[in-house]
Amino acid sequence: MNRPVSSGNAELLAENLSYEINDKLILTDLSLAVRSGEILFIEGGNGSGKTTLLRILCGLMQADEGRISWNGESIQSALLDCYQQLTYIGHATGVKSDLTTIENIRFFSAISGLPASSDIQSALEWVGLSGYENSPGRHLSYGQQRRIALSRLMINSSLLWILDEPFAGLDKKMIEKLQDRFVEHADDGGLLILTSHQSIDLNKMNSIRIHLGN
Amino acid sequence: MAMLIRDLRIAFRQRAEIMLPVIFFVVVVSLFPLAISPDPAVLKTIGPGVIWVAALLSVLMSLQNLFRSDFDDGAIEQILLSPYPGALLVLARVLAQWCVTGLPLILISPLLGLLLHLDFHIIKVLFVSLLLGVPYLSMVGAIGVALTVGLRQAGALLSLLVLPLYVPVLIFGSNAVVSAAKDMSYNGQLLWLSALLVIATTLGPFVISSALKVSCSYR
Repeated sequence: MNRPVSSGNAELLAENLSYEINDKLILTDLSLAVRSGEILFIEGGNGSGKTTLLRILCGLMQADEGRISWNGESIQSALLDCYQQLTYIGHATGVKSDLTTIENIRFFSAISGLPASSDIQSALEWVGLSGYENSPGRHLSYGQQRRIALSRLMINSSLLWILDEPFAGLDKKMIEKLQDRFVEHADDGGLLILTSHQSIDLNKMNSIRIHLGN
Repeated sequence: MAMLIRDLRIAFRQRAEIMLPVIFFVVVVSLFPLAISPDPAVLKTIGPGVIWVAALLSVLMSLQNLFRSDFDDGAIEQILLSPYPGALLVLARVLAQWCVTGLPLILISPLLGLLLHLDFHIIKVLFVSLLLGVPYLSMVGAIGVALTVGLRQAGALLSLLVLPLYVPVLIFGSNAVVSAAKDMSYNGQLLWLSALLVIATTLGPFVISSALKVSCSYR
């Protein structure tokens, strides 16, 4: 399997994050830290701010208050380094309906700026999409589109994974495989932040849990 | 580069959609002789303006969906989180859009010039003015699109935002052609168009990528 580019002592730190939308406090004074080899599991019901938190952590949104740092440097100055090491998969997969599976994957690895280490074929097999190489995205189901996005976890070798609801729309077998991959990533010194509102049996994963909302 | 190839590939898979602005351009221009007068003298005077206005509107039309699908399916987040400079990726996106709509529009304009009885040397000036002006229209329009992409009904707002910025180019562009028709010097207008184009293409991509960031952070 692929080793992250520079495993070691990477750290993502968030201090005193606050965020409000329409006078409603979504996050209040939240602090968290993830280090190499750790899995952070963020739980919470719908609307508890999981997605917002992840989008703030990867810099797509700005928190009203608080500070995020990557390897001790404030995220603003470490942005480029951080983005080189980041794989973010959100609710929307970014899979284009007019491109085939292979074309979608090639594009993802091209803009991620990392060398596509393992070959695409084995990643496709891993997500169970071999045979769909040349199907355009619009012919695939939601679960299959999610699998295309998740195949990035197999292809690139970034250190920090921020995954929003990675288990959504997947069958049991794929969820198992995904958890194995998460454990492997953590063992290789990677950092992992994921959310879920489903009660998934995470015994396999040795994770830190944060509960958002009430 | 990968971005450019991806966008061109998507565009070619949606042939019918990308042809629409060019067809609109041709149809609008060819309706004018029917509606006003087929008299060559009349067409010669209104011709440059008609072609320029039609070109401007069809560029605006082609831009409506520039970032829409990327925004809806989340591809824009991946683009913003890429370690490559956002401005460069955005430039590739606009360039791809220009290749499939702006370029065909410019290439077909001499034919429409003939249709409106413009003389050959006037058509030449028309061609050059569109060549300089249309990329500016695409770039400035893309800024407007990037700012409004997060809104539900952005069409009217987009026109309001962008049209004032289009007016100078419309004036310089059509005026260059009119001057050429009166045997006057038109270098000044073309130089102005070039200057505006340089400003738009050098600064535009940075503005577009920041605007996309803003749009993305309020979804």
